Amino acid sequence: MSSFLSPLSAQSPSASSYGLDVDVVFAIVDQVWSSYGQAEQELMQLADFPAQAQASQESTAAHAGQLPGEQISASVAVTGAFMGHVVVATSQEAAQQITGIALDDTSQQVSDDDVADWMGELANVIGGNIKSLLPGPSVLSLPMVMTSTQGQAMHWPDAYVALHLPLGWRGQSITVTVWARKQETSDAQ
Amino acid sequence: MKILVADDSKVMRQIVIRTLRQAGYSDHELVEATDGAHALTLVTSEQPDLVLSDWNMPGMSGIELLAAVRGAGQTMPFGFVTSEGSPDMRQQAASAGADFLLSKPFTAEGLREALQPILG
Repeated sequence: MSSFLSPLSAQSPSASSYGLDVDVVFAIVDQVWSSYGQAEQELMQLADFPAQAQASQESTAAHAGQLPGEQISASVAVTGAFMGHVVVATSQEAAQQITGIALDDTSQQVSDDDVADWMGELANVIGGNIKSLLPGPSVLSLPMVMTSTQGQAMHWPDAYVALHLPLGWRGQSITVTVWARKQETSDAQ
Repeated sequence: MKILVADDSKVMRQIVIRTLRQAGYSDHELVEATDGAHALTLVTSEQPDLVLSDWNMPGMSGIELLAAVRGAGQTMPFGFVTSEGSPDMRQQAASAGADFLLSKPFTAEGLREALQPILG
């Protein structure tokens, strides 16, 4: 049976087995944020830094990406020595604001296409940098962007949450989540 | 001088162009390509003096674009602006004939440092 079909018997190695550190991932996200103009407007605030995130992976998985209201999630897949996804999720309202700042145009409503474009690019840049922390060689996919309504979180049943970073910005929630594919016990390190 | 900016993200193309201006390259003519294949067409038709390309693009990737550009005998400077900057990718880029690889996120200073040897 493939690992895809046997999530219950799969082993979930600890996040530390992939060398992911929340401080390092936060530094990556913060640098991306700063570089695209958000920091100039004091846009990056950290809320509920997840020191306990890895302590309860099932709980984290249940809540990863679940944000109130209409939500937009952008993901990139990493395939190779590491198999998983990097997901950046936030509210539509926050995504509109983030995109307006990136375009240097906060005076008017940006288009849905621009929002999807920029959220995908943020996932690409953040995912590309997180990929450098993961075992290689691996390949980064093009980003995929999804919108959803309240309570419909992105979830991969054959993966577990290796890292979940909840961030606060302008009173809005932004999350960065790294999903790692579960491995069958026989395949584990 | 003409600069071709290839990136499948329209917003990122705008950021690259804005950062070029911030880095002091505001007088250059700018041409935009939405993916590698589009960029290859524009390399031929526009004959840019510099290509700034994303790596990860649908259809034709940046590294495939570079191979095609060099394969066509085009020798203009070519730099990557990409979300990944691993030693392996830098090696690939250099071997294929790239002049530099600038990893995203990048700053105006970083862009200026990369372009100064090429554009002055």
